[in-house]
Amino acid sequence: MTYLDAILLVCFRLFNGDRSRSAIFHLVSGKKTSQTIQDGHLYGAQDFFQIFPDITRETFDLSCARLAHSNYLLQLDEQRWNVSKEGENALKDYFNSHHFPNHLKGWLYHDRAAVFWKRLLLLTQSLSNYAYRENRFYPVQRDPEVQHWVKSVFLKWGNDRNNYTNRLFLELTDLCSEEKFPDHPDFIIQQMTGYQLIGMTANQLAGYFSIDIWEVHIRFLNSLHFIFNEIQNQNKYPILYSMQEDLTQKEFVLTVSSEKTLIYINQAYSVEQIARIRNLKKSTIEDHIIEITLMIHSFSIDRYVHHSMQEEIWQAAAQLNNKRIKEIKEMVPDASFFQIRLVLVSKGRMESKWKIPYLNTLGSGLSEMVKKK
Amino acid sequence: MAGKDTVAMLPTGSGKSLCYQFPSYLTQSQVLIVSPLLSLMQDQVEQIKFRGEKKVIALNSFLAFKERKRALKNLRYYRFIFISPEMLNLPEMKEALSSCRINLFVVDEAHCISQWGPDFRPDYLTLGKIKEDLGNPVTLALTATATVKIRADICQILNMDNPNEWIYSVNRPNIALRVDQLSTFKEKVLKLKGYIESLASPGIVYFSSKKLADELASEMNQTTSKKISSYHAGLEQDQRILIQQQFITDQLDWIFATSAFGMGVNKENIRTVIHFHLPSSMEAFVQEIGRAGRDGNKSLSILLYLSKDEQITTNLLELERPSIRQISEFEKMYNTSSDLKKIEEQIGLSEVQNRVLHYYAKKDSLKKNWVNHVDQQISTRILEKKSKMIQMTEYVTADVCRRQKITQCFDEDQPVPQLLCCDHCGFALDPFKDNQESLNTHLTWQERLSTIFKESENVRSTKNT
Ligand SMILES: [Zn+2]
Repeated sequence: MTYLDAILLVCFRLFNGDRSRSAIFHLVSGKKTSQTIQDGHLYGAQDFFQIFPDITRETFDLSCARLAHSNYLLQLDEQRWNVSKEGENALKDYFNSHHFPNHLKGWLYHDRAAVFWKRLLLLTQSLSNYAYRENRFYPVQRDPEVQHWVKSVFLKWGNDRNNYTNRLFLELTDLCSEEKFPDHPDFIIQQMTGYQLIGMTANQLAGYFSIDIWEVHIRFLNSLHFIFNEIQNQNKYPILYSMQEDLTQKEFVLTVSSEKTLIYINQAYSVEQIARIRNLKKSTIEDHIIEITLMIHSFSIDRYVHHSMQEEIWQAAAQLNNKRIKEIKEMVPDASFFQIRLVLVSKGRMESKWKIPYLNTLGSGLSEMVKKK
Repeated sequence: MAGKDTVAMLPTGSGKSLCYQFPSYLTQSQVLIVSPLLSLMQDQVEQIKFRGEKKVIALNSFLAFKERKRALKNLRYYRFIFISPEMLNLPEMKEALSSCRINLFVVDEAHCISQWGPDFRPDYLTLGKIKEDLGNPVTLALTATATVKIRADICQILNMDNPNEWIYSVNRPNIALRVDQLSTFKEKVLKLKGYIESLASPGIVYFSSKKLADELASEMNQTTSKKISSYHAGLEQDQRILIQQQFITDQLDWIFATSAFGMGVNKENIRTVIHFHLPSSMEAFVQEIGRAGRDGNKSLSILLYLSKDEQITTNLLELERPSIRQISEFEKMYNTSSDLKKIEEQIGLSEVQNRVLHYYAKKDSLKKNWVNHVDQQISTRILEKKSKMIQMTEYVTADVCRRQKITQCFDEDQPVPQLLCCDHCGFALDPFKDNQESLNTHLTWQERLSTIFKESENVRSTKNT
């Protein structure tokens, strides 16, 4: 099993056989559609959003084929697959001897952390060359916006640059020395470039640690998301904090069609009425409402599900310890599938993440030995 | 250059870009540089910036829409404008260029113009017209290698009237030439491994397959004492930059690459260039070995040859040929759809095939019996390429001096006899042996951080106490 296989298996496990293979592909490759984002939140898999931004469909399908071939995935029907008993065991074994990425926050950080990382790489390279009195070097980042940002910071710091260099060094050292730093700092620091010292590539790290390239990628991302979370503490890491404070989380904008639906909802039209007026299927309007519920936290679902039924559904989900809509439906037969989804989504948005005991046990399987190398 | 059109055939890295940078400073004029490869263009831009010039821009598909708009608006303020041939044909680009004062028109890798060259780029054929639109500025065609025939093509297509020719010899006396004939693939890999361990680095090994370059690089990186990485167009840009820079700063001993590597790399001390596969032409070969020994010190070219290696390349060439059925389907679709990608997918064409067919559709659309016409043209092209292959095979199999064989191909005079010439004239590998220990130091993360930030370890300890 490659590291990619294992992570995908975790995603399949979270989706519980409720969603198609493509849904998982869209999640990990980071397709920004309301369906993918809904799926992510509904199944507590949003932390895996865009963790493999460059993965091709071919690579993904090959990985799925390997999993199916080893009988770790069982085919439910043409589109849907679920994790088998063997798969569960294999996964536990795998993460007993491999690092598990507890700190991934894909949905929350995917775009901001990537920009922060590029800035850190180029700023470090620039400060290093400055410290060694070299003003000509080939930048390791060619993204014009990142170059522009580094230039402006460089100018702003002016003659105080040496002081800032020292402080950035201390902040990075402190950060990587933190007791709870999740992994070997090599995954971050060895990729950094300085004066006449060029950073290692992911491939080279893979060779050095004798692990596969997917593991390098995820362990790097895991550490990066950990760092991104830590540096929100402005008092402790003022310089690193300042390197990302202008990056605001891009709010997910409603799709045009959902926005139209929202206008009708605000005018107190019912689902059926809106479907008629807009000449759309009822189920489409319901999808819009799910999307709205997910994105607009103040949106109340009380008009679609009575409060007592909300409680009933929620308790059924808690009792079953899953979000399989069909099973909940058996326990609350009066509720429609739409109502069940709506309740799960609205609770999910408040908790921001579904508590999945499964992931926690996997995480604790991480042994010290694995952590250090 | 004295304001006269010029064709310059210079070895890569011999300061080609100075040819157009220097004149620009003298006349305060704008220079437009057409460059076919995106990565190469980026490298050149970085090199010019590296020398302190900020008024330089690269117009290519990497540029985001907003940036492109801004760049076009301010185009007349840039001194050096790099552009890809596709971009040059856009209407908004033509308009923006009309506000500029282009006094020098540079065509880099000009051999791509020639249909007979191995790197033919149909986009290049419109350059003559573009030159006219720009008001016929002085034109400089740059190329690393081109036969007499290709040079004639370049002059004709760029409407160059009796141009100056600066031709440097393809013969590089400080590079010794050697061919090893092997009988099995396994033997070839072992031979390579032996060379990697024993020959002087830094060095490049050229492969025609990305996959093999990756596999052998990672295997030999583990099993030899040398630091080796692979490099090809399949890697992401960030990673390509790192590997290139590691090589330049001597952090890598060997690069296992496809022909994508080397064009923009300025490195003086490359000691050895090995070809694991047969190059597609003498032009490509000479250009690739020419990356060795730019510092003038003795260097080495080795070609590993397995009999029938040329068969692989010939088969690849045949694969490049679209079938009659594909050509006629293309004709139908081309008239109804403008979505190139869709045409490519539906007919099952490769990118190269699509590019070539597209070119003929634009150029010869009125021809009667277009399908047969195109098929014939393509057959001619493939035949030409095969004859290039044969030339390359002759280099390998001939019993005469290899240096002489090279100069013959480019219609140059016979080379002066020299020591350390080629394996036919006889030379020992000893002078090319590696006598340096590979620097095998892996810094801990703490060491790396303090080196990068030029902080000594005690800064840390004083702060902690
Ligand atoms: Zn000779």
